[in-house]
Amino acid sequence: MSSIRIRLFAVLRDRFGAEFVALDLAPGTTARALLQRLAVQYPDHARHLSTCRVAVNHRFASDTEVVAPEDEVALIPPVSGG
Amino acid sequence: MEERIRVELVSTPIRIEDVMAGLEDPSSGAVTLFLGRVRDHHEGHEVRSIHYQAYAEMALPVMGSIAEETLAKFPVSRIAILHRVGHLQVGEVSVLVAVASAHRDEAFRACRHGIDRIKQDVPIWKKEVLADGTEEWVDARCGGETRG
Repeated sequence: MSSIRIRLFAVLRDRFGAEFVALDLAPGTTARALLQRLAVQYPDHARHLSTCRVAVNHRFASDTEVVAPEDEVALIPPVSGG
Repeated sequence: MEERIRVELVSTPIRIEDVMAGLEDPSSGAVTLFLGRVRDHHEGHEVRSIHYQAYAEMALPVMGSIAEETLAKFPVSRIAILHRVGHLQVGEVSVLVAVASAHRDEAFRACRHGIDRIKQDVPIWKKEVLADGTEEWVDARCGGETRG
């Protein structure tokens, strides 16, 4: 099992009080499973996690995309630019 | 393709005239410009200023792909997309989309497409500083922000 550092932004960065959160990554973990694991591990933030999209290597990932330890993974809360 | 597209994240005021100069093109009879500015209210709250935070490594390529997509979808010759980051006061320009094309119809439609796609997909977030001193992240799904 390897560990991955997940980048946080906006409301999640404030709630976690950090720019990254670490997660153990089982082989074959999908983007959707990663979000679900985080929600279980951090129930206080589950509501906000449920609104996030996952980005892998600077692109939005599909639910079924498998995340590798060397990927840059970020949680993308609903965007509000403009 | 490259010189037809200008995409930037900037931490200093957007220089509109410089951007417009970059859209000069003898074949383009129409130029449309959309500016988003910091508004003094949001959902009944008085807004003093806004912090814009970007995931720059992703925001720039997403802005670039929106620009390319707009050029592919509409017969336009040039497009510029710029977004501010950092702390902006009410009235400051936060986003600029400008399009040059032969005729006005596609220029308007392409510009609208560009700003709409920015609001959907570019990983940038605003945190409002309200008149009572509190600060809140704007959640685009929770209110009038989709009206932009």
